[in-house]
Amino acid sequence: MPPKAKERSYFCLLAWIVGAAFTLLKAVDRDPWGVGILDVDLISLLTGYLFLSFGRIQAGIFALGQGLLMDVFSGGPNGLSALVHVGVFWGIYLGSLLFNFQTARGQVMIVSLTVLLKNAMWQALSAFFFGNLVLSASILCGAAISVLGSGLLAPLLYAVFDRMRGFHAGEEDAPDLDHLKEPPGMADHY
Amino acid sequence: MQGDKRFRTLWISIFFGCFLLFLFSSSSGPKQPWNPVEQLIVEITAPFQRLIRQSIDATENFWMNYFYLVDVRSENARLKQTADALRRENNRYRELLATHERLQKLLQFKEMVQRPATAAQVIGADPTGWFKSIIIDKGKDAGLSWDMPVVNASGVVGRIVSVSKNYAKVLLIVDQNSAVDCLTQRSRDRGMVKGTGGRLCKMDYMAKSSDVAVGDLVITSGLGGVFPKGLPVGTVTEAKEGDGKLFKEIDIMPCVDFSKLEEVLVIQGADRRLEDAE
Repeated sequence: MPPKAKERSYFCLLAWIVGAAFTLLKAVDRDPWGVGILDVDLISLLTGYLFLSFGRIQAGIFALGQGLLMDVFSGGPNGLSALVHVGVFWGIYLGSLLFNFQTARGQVMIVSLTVLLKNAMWQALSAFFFGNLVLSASILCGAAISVLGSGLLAPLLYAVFDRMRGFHAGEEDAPDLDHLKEPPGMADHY
Repeated sequence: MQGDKRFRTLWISIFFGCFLLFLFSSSSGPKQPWNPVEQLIVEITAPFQRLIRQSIDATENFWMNYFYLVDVRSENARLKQTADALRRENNRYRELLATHERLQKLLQFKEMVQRPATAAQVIGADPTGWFKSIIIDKGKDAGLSWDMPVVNASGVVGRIVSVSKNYAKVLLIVDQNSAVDCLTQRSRDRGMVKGTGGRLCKMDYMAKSSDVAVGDLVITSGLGGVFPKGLPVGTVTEAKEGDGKLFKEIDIMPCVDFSKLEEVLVIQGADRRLEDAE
């Protein structure tokens, strides 16, 4: 196996392990970050990075797999978490069409909108299946903080991941990132 | 010549002996204060004595404050470690005591239920935060199966919705998917307690003519086929009649504190009272 492919495999495996560990940790402690109100959506962030660096297929499989894992431990109907996480993937995909995912600003926007979409999906599905729409001030505030926190953390986390993989800013690696590329004159600086 | 020497020695010895006897006889009476000669001797020798005493004290202090403290420091560190270990052990015993009390209550509840039951520990909860479920550490190997009721010493917790070899998922009564057939203990009016996804439950299908008041205890009716009859579910916190609605709107505060669930009891086997009735 060529070194680059090996490195990709290792990172994907690491992403799966971290995602699964995060899900299990959330099942044990609803506040795994230990900072109270800040609820960073690590699964969405990892899905976004896999989409950015490895392409749609890797990101889609990751999102679906994490959703299915969450379904096992969740008390909701089977497939609901998987549906929401597939929605996360589609949110990232559509966001990448609107913004430049390779810039920090684009990453903040795409991840923020994706987490917002995820929270909205949960609310909508809860209202659809159970007739229960919960829009209390605390829930809205928590969701807003999660959206902003996850979005603002995205460029930093992605830069860390790039460093871990030995990449510098601006290098591209994924096979099918043509849809992310913009004409040179319009590209923002990383 | 030698005779004179021996004679002189004898007389000197006799003189000193008599002098000593004289001294003994003079001190045999009540204690006399120092005479002027003794006072002079004391005044001359006492400062030297004080100097010697101070030198000894200074040396002793120097030793105690510096060299000896090395041992004190290590002893202090050792005692601190011992105190920390004892504190940790104390905390562990307190925790064991609290666990013992909880399990004692659970055991008393188990004896009251009159059905075989298995105790289990809660090891996880719903990771999404949108549903109310828990994971317990007992499964098929312990005799658990789908739809078995789960309770604790305070009351009804939920029912098993998924089970594997060693683990099971329990849907709590506060979950939106949960519904338990209940009745009020006082007036025996029947209704369905449903979860809302929050802290409270609601009791549906209570007719407007039903006699329900705030503070009434709600218990399982036994008619749902899952929970035995008579298990506490919650207390009524609000009961109002909605305008234009067929049923009363009743809020229930569950007896169980779901934020502090640690041990639960899974009730197994058929209801003996139903078997006896047959």
